[in-house]
Amino acid sequence: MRFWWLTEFKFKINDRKYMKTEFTYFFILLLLALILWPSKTLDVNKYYIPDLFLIFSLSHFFFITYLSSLISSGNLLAEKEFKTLSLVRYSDFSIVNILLGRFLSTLLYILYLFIILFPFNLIISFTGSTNKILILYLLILIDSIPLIGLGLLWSTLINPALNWFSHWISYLAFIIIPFIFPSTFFFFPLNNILWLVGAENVLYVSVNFNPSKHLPVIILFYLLIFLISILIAQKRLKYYRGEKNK
Amino acid sequence: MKKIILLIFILIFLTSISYPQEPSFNISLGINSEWKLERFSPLFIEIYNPGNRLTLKIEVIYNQGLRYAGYCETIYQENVEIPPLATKKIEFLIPPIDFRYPLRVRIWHNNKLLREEKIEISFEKIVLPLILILGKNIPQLPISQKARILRIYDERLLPLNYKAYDTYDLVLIDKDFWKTLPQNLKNSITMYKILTGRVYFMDEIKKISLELLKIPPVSITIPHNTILYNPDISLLQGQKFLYPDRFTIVIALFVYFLFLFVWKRYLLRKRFSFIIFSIFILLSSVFGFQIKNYFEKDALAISEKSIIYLDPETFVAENYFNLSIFSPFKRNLSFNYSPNIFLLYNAYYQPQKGKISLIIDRKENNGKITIERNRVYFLEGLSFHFLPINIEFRELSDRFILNIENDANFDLKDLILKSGNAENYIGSIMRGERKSIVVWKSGLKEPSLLNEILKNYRFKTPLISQKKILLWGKNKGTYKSFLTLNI
Repeated sequence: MRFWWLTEFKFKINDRKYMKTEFTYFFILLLLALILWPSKTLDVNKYYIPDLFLIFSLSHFFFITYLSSLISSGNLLAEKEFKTLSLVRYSDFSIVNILLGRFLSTLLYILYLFIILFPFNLIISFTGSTNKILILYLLILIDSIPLIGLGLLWSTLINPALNWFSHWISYLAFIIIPFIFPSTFFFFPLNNILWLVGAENVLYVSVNFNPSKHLPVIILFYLLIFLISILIAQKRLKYYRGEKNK
Repeated sequence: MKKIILLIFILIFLTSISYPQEPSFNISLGINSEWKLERFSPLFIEIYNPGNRLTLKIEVIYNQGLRYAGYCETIYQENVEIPPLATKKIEFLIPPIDFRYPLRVRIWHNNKLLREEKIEISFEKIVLPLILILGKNIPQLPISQKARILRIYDERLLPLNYKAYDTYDLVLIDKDFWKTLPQNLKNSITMYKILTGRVYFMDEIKKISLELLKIPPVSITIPHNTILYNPDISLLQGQKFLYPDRFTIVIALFVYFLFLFVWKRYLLRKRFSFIIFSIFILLSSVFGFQIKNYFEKDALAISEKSIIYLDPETFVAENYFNLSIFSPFKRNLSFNYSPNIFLLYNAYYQPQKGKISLIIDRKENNGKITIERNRVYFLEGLSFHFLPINIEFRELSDRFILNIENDANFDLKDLILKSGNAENYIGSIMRGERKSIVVWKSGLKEPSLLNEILKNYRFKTPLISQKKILLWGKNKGTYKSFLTLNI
């Protein structure tokens, strides 16, 4: 088995489009830190340390889940990267290898982002323990899995507009739908992040999440979404490869 | 015969095992349950142990009144060991009680609650003046209004803590009874006399001022939360935290992101790019961790304000101190306090979500409190000192002349001279300094809301004789000598 996805991951790190996206996000983080950083002088009537961990955890969640959907759906391709359909048509990799490779390169890129954001997260996590950062990473990773799966499915669509539209729909469905329900539904990704940052006490939202009970369920559920998406994607790609062979 | 004696012992032993006898308790706030509103009072807990040796944990829960959604309480704890067939009496000093929240006592044995009692309040009684007569004779008292008179001729009923006598408006002592008193009780009553002047021997009745004989009943009002009339946060205001400011942080982050950019753009394809990246991330993480620690350790502001009552003749001083604590994070604080502090309580709180308990272990002289984020907390305490602050005071027709020599080991800040109900600001006297101050009578002012300084220092109750000259103000930077906070 060739580790072609490792090369793809290197392309991603090196690519200008990726760099632009990353540094735009870092610039936003820098601006937010400048605005929200607490004053050094205590004014009892006004002094307040905003929960920076909450704010930045949510922003990391939105950014990374968005990126994972965007990358896996092939809407953000590095310069030397190929589309999934092109790989299927013109390479001799098996379809499973292509899908898993895409998944792994996206996953590696997310891990890379986690590493470079770690010192920043340490600085702003003064309201919580270091373990919370690791739990945050784990939860974002778990939450990204179904989005990556769905992204892989969307990458099999030939029409780029439909691909783009589907990526946005699946992303927004995960983020917005929890707020439609009267009390947040534990299946939705944002819910577990809200639980981790203790948003109940700060934002006064109701968070329905019990890690010992709900975490195994969401892991299974997300893996199921991922597997179903992969299976459908595989079926579709088989069709394209068959068409090519014809 | 031996067998019979042995059998009897075995039977007694078996009976004591099969019928464990419960200890009996007698709880009384004040002597014979007589105490007065708005005053410090003694609480006696008498325990008789009919069974085997017992170790009990006694908790006295004092509430400082409800405000908004939460409330604060002080839990005084003491572990007591009682030998078989013995009686033990434990005395607690209780700060002025908020009539809305009765005092509670809980007694635990091996984490099992043996007894919980609420001290009932009878409004008809607790508002009336309370006079304590020590001795068998009842003197003729020129009192025309309603008052409670308590006559005690058993010294075992008397409190040991001098401040506990605060609950009595007047203490009259029979000289014969005085002679029989043990030295520690004599000391307590003497101390109380020095600091309040409300103690007389029976043959001194004519010397008692009319003021003391015509004490009106206490009017029932919602009490203030602190000894200071208004909660004072002025010393917290403007304190600087030690964590880095926003510009330092933004520059540090900028450098970090810039290095990432340089690494990606120019170093990524070099041979040691991975090692450079790892070292860089590691160093930045150490830096980030350091800043996080800065926050946790240093984001705590503490200030202290004291009101010192000093007897100019004996240099015996009572210190009412108010500690303000603020933290932007929820945190557990524990502290040790010096033995000359004999009362510490949770004084005031801001709106909060839960109940805040100050737990005071009286034997270990330590306390614990969990404070919520972004709230100001006040801890108040009472300590006694020997303060060599020499005050020479002369009153002329139009002015007072004060010569003050501060030989104490702290600076006295923002001092106020009080004469009757009028007050005047007289400045600060540093340690080792001697100052001569002239206060013109025409300059003395009634405490008014317009005068910020006086407003901050006003009293809840007239705790001292109005004729006494007292210093009251801030003794700056000494809280560490009273409390050592373990953060």
